[in-house]
Amino acid sequence: MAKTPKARAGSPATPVTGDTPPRERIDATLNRLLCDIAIGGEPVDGGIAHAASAVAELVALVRGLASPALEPPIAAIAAAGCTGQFEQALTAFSEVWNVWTVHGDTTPEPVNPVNVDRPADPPAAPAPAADTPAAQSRVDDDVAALQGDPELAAMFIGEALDHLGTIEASVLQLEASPDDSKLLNDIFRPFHTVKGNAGALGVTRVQELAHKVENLLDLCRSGRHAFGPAETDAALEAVDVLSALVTDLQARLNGQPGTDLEPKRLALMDVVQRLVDGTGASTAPPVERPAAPALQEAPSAADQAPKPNQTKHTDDGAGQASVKVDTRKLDNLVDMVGELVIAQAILQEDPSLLKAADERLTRNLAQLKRITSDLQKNAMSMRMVPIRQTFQKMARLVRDLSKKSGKSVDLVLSGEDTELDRRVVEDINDPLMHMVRNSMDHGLEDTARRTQTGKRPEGRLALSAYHQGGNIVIAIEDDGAGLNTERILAKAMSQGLVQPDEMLSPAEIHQMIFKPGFSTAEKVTEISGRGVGMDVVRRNIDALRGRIEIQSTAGQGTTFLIKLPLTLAILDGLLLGVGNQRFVMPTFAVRESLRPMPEQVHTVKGHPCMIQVRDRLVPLIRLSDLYGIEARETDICRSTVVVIEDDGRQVGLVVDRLLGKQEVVIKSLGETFGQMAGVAGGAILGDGRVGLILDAHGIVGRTRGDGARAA
Amino acid sequence: MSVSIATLDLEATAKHETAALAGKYLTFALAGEEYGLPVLKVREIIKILDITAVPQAPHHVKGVINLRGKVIPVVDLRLKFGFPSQAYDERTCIIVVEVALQTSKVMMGVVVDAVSEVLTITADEIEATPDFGEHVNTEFMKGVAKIKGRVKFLLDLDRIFGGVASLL
Repeated sequence: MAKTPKARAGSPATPVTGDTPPRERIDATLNRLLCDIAIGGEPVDGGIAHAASAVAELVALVRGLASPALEPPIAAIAAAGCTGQFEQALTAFSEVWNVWTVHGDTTPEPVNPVNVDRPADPPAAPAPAADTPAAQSRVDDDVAALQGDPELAAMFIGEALDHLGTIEASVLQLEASPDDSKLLNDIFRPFHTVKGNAGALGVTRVQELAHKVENLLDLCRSGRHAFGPAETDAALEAVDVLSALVTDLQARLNGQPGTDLEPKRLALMDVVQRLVDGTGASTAPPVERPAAPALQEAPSAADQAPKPNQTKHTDDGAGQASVKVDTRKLDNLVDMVGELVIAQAILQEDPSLLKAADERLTRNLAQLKRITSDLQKNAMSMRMVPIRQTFQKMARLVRDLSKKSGKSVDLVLSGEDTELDRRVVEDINDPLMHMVRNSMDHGLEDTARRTQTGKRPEGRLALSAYHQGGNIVIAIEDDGAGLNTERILAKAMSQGLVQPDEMLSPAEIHQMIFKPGFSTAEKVTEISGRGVGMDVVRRNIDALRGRIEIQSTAGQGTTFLIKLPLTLAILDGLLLGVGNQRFVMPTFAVRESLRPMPEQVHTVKGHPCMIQVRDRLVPLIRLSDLYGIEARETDICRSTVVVIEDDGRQVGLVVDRLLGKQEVVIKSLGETFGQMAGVAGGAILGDGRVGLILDAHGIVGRTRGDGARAA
Repeated sequence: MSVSIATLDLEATAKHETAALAGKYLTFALAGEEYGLPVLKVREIIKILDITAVPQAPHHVKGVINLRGKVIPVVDLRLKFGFPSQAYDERTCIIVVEVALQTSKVMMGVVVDAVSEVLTITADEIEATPDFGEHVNTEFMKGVAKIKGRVKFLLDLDRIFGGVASLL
């Protein structure tokens, strides 16, 4: 059978890797199937297994050709293949074959690269099925296409999302520097890969949309269409819709209810089609774009090895190989390494070894210690990922918001390579989004106002991430109006959050914006100002054991500093002893610790209740009272007071003694204990026993609650 | 007529249920009685060790222990069942079991007086839990096994600890 010119020119991203045209590969697979059945004679085990895999391949191949007329026979092949009825599969296949040969040349080939030679020919609508009413069944088809092989599906989804992330970043870069024709390639290639993968797996909805956009991009690449604002919007929208489609598929695969994305998808396909159609009418004059490099690159090469060219812009590992590992496996490894460190410590402290005082033994033990601590560091670092992707999302957000609100903004990103715990990176996304939104809406003034006050018309928003003293700091800095202290205070008073006679420092007033329901925006805009948000931000950051600080100068701008622990797995703690129990207090919550002098302590009815720390009066809590433990020291002047701070409030915790500073691995107490006020989790201490990690927020919150009740 | 059919049905299901209970059990002693746990639920048995108390936990929750890097809760079954507590000695054991909570499975330690043996209990030896009258809660029991004249209560751990989402 003669190959179609298209098929020969093409470098199909066909189901199985390789660049043989589909027609030939179908031929080969079919032959194999016939052989297998012949060898099997009466279907015996070996024959069946081979034949079954050949049928599966056929189904995949034929799916890749994706034409609506082929759907029923494909389903028949799949069904017959599964039940081992290969004769029926063959019959069904011959039907497919007929359809294919009849429509062969007209059947749109989704696996066909778009560019080759199609100057006048308006890009064939790749899927007539796009406007069939049976949208739901198409969704089901896509789900069914992925259901067979969960691993493959997970890989497809993960890869697609990665590629979409790359595309988004490149589009934004291209918008900033429209003359960089290489960026266009960087957008085109991942789209092409996503399309190819989707086609191979039979996820037709994703494939169609990606194909459409690819058509458009190809026209731009060859200089026949300008990549202007409309195209940028379309490409970004395509990233959104494709991500939504893929995540929706993922949800459906997990048995969760999906959302109907068809209207959005079809609308976008129309938009893209109109842009493509507009090319001939030359609504947008083609820009002078050096088209040559784009065309020289064989798309097949791009398909096979998209990485090397991409890395220049995305730096995603610079060619380093990486392995995707289940996080549970990583957590287990971290658990085991933690145990190893403890075992090593116990060995090191073993009295009989200490007695031995052998030089070689000591040396070997020291070596063991070095190796275990290196191992621990390595195990911990495996959970770390750079914050780059999150920042890129913010870049997109700022772009969209600035379009919507008409404020022009310079976004400056720095420290994108700063690494954070994977979970932190995931969980910081939403709060960061809120804060960027807030800075855009409340922080930065509009252009008119800025010129009035003698500022540059463009606002400046800087996002940066850096290390500082064992913490990661994410700073969001704007050069807007700054927080209006009086207005916040007035608002807080009117809402009853502050008593009129309360004396608050500016910092404390600024913290008010994190109270639930608080908003000073005079009008509610589309972007923000509904009074939900900052309290949620605060809660999210708290959950990550982080803190937010605000530095604001009226008229000059506001800086929000989010301080986060390096990792969620390890906590820097102060070991406290009470009675025969030990507790871990996170170091970040501790201000100081002291042995009180009698004159510092204020008593009520003989009970010490306040302590004078320099110029502040700090309420005292006995940890032993709080948790019903018998303390060793009853005299406060022989105990130790640890001053902890949360939310700007300080509390002095009375404990028997300080046992030292220790890095501990945080373990959840499990859902069996639910949420306990004052306890954040468990930690395995140096001797292998469990110590409870105290939660400063919970403890300080308790005193306030008690105080309110007493008052 | 219909009543007798219903009774027959009940008897049949009861028979069916006791048949399903047959299998291997880990038996242990608690306050002078013998109890059995399905072996498949048991992860391991460890000697009693130092338990870190958890504040505000109910009386029967002794606290948490470190099981090779995992922190798991420990429950004293004597206290859970309302028996008088007894000082732990060298026979006291923690049986680590897997319990199905509402949404997930968790590991948990159960303190018992002493572990006895693993027994294969046949369907003939199992009877449905007798009715002790309204004052005795038999929800925790799957059935009763009579072996060599001694009675062993077969426990349903998922009932004892599951159902509620947390121990608190």
